[in-house]
Amino acid sequence: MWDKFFYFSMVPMVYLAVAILVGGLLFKLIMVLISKRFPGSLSVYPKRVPRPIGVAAEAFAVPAAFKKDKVFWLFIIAFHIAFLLLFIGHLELIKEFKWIQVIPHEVFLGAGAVGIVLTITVLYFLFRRFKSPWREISVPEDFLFLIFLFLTIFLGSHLHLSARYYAGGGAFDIPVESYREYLSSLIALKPVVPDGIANSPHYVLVVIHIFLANLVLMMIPFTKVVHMVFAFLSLNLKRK
Amino acid sequence: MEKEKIKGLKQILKRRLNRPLRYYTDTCTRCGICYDSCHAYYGIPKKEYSPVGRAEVVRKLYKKYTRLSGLLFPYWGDATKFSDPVMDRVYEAAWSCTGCRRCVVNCPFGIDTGQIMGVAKHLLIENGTAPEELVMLADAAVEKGKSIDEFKEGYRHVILDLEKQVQQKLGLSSSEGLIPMEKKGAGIMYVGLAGAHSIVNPAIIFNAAKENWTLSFFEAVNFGFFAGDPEKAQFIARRIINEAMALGVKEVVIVECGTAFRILRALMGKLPFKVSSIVEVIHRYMKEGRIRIKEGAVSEAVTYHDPCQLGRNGGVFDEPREIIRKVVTDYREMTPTREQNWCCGGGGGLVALDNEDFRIKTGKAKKDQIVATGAKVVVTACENCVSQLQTIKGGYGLDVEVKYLTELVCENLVV
Repeated sequence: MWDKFFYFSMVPMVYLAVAILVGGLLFKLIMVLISKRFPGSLSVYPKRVPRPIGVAAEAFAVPAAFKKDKVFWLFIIAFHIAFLLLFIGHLELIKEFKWIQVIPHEVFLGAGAVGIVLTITVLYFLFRRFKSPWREISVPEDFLFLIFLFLTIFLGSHLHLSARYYAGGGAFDIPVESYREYLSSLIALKPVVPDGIANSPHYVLVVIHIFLANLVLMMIPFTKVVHMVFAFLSLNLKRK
Repeated sequence: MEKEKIKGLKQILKRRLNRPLRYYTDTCTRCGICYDSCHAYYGIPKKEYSPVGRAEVVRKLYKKYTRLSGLLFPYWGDATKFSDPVMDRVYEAAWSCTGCRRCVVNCPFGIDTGQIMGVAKHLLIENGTAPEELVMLADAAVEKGKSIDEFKEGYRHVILDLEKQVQQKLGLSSSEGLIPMEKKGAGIMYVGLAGAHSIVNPAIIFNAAKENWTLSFFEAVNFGFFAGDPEKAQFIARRIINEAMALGVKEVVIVECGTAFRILRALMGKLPFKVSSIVEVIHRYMKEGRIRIKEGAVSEAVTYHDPCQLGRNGGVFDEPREIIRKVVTDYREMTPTREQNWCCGGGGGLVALDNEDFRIKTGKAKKDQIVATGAKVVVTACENCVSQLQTIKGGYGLDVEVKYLTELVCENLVV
């Protein structure tokens, strides 16, 4: 019974999650493309810099948050930088990319700091919502998504830290090669769960981490996380 | 709520779901950065008057009726169905928003709550709970557009009286042709409002500048837009566009009315003529030496209130300031200013409603700004703003004089 659940989480559910994520985002983009354009301009003024620069500056530097709440801004920036590093780190768990290894480093990037920063920032975003006035404007999605994200990141961070710093004398170390074998087999549509993972005392945690990550990926098209795409489009309207 | 009514409301929601609305409904993270960027929230600090609080009322309806998540697990995003209490919340959201778009500037994603409130107003029309006075004014404007020939003769008689006022100010021997109408091939077609001041002062300036101009038969104000009825708003704006095209004018100049200016300049798509505000035209005349203003004639402390639709939403920031600085010796800037300037609380049609107590409370941010400048005269370039500033002045007992920019110019024009 548990074997089946473990296999389901590690293989079919991953495909399902990616299909829902990609399909959901594509569906949203298609709906945008077939929707009526706004005939006029929704600009606000002044326009101090050319449009692409302005959009990029607002999207990546979030000056509106900086002006309003510098602590919140710091957490936003820390979270997004750490998330980018997390994405790159997971790419390196698929195969070795020479361009990522320009500065030679041990996989995963950040020596454990990425997971810690993400854990702290997600907890900040979550606890911030417990306080008024943010509590009043929050909906269940806001709390639930952050809780799932926190659990996923916390477990992932634990897996990485215990492997990297030889917890239990290295007994919990799942070699990078095992992750690469697993993830590249998924991409090649010939899925295997290598012994390096399946026989590890940490296998249960790997399964739960991937199960939660699958849930997070599936949730994305239904949540405000689509701002990762739409933020650029709405900021563009503001300057068009 | 009856099924038929819900069906009609759902249709409005779907019909209005254009590209920007899709961004605005999906992108908001409810980060709350916009929370206190609204003047209404500044005056009455409750969630319902925050931009995100307002927008969420409509977003939750969109979630329910246009999103799979709203259908499958509505609790996830707190998706709500149409009901009478929900429509009451829609009313409170829509008719506490002036569409000033200060929240757009302060949102990390540039979400335009004004656009979302446009949908809310449209829903209220369908629900039969839109403010009657605005609906009636919009209907009257549409009716005038349909049967303009019946109005022309009466309007010409009114204009004859106004021409005499222009003649008097300019010290001319005849008043004939000082306010030309239906002049084909004119350089400028000026669109005023119902009040005499909105025609006389600009007419004085046009004549002083020896402009080849003509007056529109229509008022610039768009009650269809204020009411939230896109069809009527289009019709009312098209009356002016058609008139300008029939006369073959090169430029349409809009009275001191921020919304009318923004509608024609930014919301009607590409037009075969230039659209300017009277403020820009006065500035142009001043720069070209076509009119002369008594420099430093006013020694009282003067401040300028940026009408939201002219400044933040129209980009006209520097022109009014340069004009005022020419006339006054003690100009004082408000804080915050320009794109961050607080809305006075009268825009979006609110000033036409029976809601004076609400507007006094939500005008607190503007009152605080005016008081902080220590100015004795507040100049602005928008009819709604002048009315609302007068309400704020009365409500808080401010010892200030509120003036139109054209009024200040005309008082200090060298003729």
